[in-house]
Amino acid sequence: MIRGTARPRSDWRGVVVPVICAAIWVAASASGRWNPHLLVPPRQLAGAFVESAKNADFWLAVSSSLLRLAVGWTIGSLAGVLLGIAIGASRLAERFAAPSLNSVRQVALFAWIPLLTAWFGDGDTAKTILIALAAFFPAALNTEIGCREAPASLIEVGRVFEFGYWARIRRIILPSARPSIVAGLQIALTSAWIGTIGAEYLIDQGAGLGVFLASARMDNRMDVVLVCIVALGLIGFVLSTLLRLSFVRGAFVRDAVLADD
Amino acid sequence: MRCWPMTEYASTAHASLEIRGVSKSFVVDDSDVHALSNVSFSVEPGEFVSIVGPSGCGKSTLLRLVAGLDSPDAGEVVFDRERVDGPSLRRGIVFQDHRLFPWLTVEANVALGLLKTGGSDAQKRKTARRFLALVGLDGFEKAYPHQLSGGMAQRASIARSLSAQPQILLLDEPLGALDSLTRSQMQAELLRIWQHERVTMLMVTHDVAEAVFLSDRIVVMDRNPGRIRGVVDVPLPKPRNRHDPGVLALTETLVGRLETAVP
Amino acid sequence: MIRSVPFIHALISPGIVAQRVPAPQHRIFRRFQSIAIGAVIPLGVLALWSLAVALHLMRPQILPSPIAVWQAGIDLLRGGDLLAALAVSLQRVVLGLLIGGSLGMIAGIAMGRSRTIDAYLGPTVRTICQIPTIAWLPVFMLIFGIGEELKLAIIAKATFLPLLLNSFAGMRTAPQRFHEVADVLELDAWQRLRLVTIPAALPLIIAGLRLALSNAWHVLIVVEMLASAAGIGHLMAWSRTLFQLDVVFVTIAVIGVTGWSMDAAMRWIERQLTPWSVEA
Repeated sequence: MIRGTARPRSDWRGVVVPVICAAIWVAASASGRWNPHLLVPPRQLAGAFVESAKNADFWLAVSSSLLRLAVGWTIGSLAGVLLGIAIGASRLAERFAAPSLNSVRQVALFAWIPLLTAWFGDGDTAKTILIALAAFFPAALNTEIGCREAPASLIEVGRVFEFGYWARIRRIILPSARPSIVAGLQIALTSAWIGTIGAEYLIDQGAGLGVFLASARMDNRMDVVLVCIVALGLIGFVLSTLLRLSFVRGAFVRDAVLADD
Repeated sequence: MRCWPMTEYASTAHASLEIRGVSKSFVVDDSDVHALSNVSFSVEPGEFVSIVGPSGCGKSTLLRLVAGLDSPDAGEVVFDRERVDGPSLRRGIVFQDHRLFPWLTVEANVALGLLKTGGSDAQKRKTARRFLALVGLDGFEKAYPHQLSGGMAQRASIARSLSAQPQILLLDEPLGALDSLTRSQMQAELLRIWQHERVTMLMVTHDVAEAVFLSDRIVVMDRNPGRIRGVVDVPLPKPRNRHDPGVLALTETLVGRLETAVP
Repeated sequence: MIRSVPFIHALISPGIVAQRVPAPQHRIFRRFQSIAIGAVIPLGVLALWSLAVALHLMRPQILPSPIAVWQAGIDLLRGGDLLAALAVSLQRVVLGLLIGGSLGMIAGIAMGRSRTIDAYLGPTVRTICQIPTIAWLPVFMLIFGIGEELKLAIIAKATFLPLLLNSFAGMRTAPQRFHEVADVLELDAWQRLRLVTIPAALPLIIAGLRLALSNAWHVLIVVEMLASAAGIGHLMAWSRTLFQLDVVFVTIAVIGVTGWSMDAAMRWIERQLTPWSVEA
């Protein structure tokens, strides 16, 4: 409407609370009254950052996690997208698969871990399957919604032009579903990263950031724990930003779908 | 607390509306749109006045200024010898989208107009029911807006505005969202309500036939910039018949005038 | 799920456009048909499972038979272990939700109503959002140990954020057009809050509650698997340690069903409290 909206100027007020908290933190740890194992002094925390950055094991852990994530997410979201297209494009498929899928989805993700470790041991297999599961459901759900909501008007145009089944999917449904699919992939990535850390933390075997985190906790090293948390938050943020950017720039999905052949 | 007697709008005799030299512009996409330019007219108490004109002539903007929801860049709106400075119960407004609160029953919605009046809850319920009966919705007190049809919801909205016993009722294309069958019925209803309550009514509509059917005077507006082309008296007796030759002739004349307007 | 409507023309009355109305028998048949189709895959899985067991494809410790799972479930139910574990878990969820959820709601409403508060607290809150709840677990474990406080703390954290964000959005959501009506009706600030802002916010707040409940349930399972001597997560982890996979299967099913039921209950509450938004 006509009412002008105030342009958002850079708001310094948001910094006030963190600054106050930091000040309290410094003062409290300096007073020595709090358990230094829990309320880690800033200097020690900074030291822990440096220590971890120099620690080869830390980087090994991070790269193992990322590798697992890559494999698990790829498998899971690919499967999810394919199933999502199958279900979204065909009412019949939806009626077959939806109840089962929805039921399985109800089970909390990490509740699968005991079963998976019983079947596949404590190694990479169980963890990767869990990561794939974490990626699967958001990808499938969003893809299904995207395909289902392909505008009926366009589909009718396809019928007039006598599009076959595959042409309909390639030229109408997939392009209209693209934003949803992309959103699904992003959510799948976030889910998968959480799944990665969680699986590693719970299974506590092998190399990985979650394992690193678990041992830090068991050694009562709050400072290292905090470093790990910051690291995983940062990595999660970077990953989702990268994914977002790659879809803005490289419209490879769209091109592949609309390419004439 | 004001407590108006049931069907008397005691100071209506003095509550005339005067629009004096009102102008209003907006900035849309970096260019100025002169929605209204030096518009002036007045509405006498108890009249039914319609504003017609092509889209973009500023009629809705004008109504919002009278309601006090926006303020003019130049000129002033004077109601009951006071400058209009903000919305008020005394200038009720019925919007095109009924704007009933979806979480309240019809009765509770109508009772919203009674929040500022004195009296017990039981009295307010009674009053709300009376207005619902007036608009033909008795029996639907406990219904929720989403359960009503478009016409019924709009009637409830009118009841809500009337329950506050305003000195003037503003209507912004109230029937625009309804199908033509419902619209004809509602026009008759509106006329009946006006005759019963004798509230001053100022209505914006794009439907010329509707304006001729309902109004005592019709303000014809033009656009670019929004201004008044003329004010037409409708001296035909009420209630009117849509097919009356006088009605039809006037409608035709007005439509013809609007069609020859500058695009 | 869209059911195709059979074309049975029923003339309501002469002159009125014929309407297509499915006859009642057809509706029941369609309903049965949907259930049957949906059951194909689960039944198929069940069949394959029984086949695998019958053919001794895997050791019974790895793949218990469906009957063994069913029996284990009955035993747990009869023995009271299952319900006891469930009760402990649900209690923790409810308590944590009360704490975290109300704090979140209050903060969200405060931030939603006051741009000042939002300016101060908003950026901090949104940054903390970025860190998944589960990452807080080690920190909380160090701070709270592994007792009840740990569970309550982490559930409170898990429920805080959804309710905060949704209450915040809810406060901002009453469309301008309703506020214009409130203007004309000359509602004072308290009436406006009571009659416009809060009812408009209610659907979003309830949606936040649903999400919070789901989050809480997920997080609780993890915590109970790791650091608990009671509760359904513990039951699952313990039976896994003992390699009693039949019990593990049962617990998985119970976790799924409970999660679904809680969500269904929330949807029912949503329909009762905010009937208009469900129609919309």
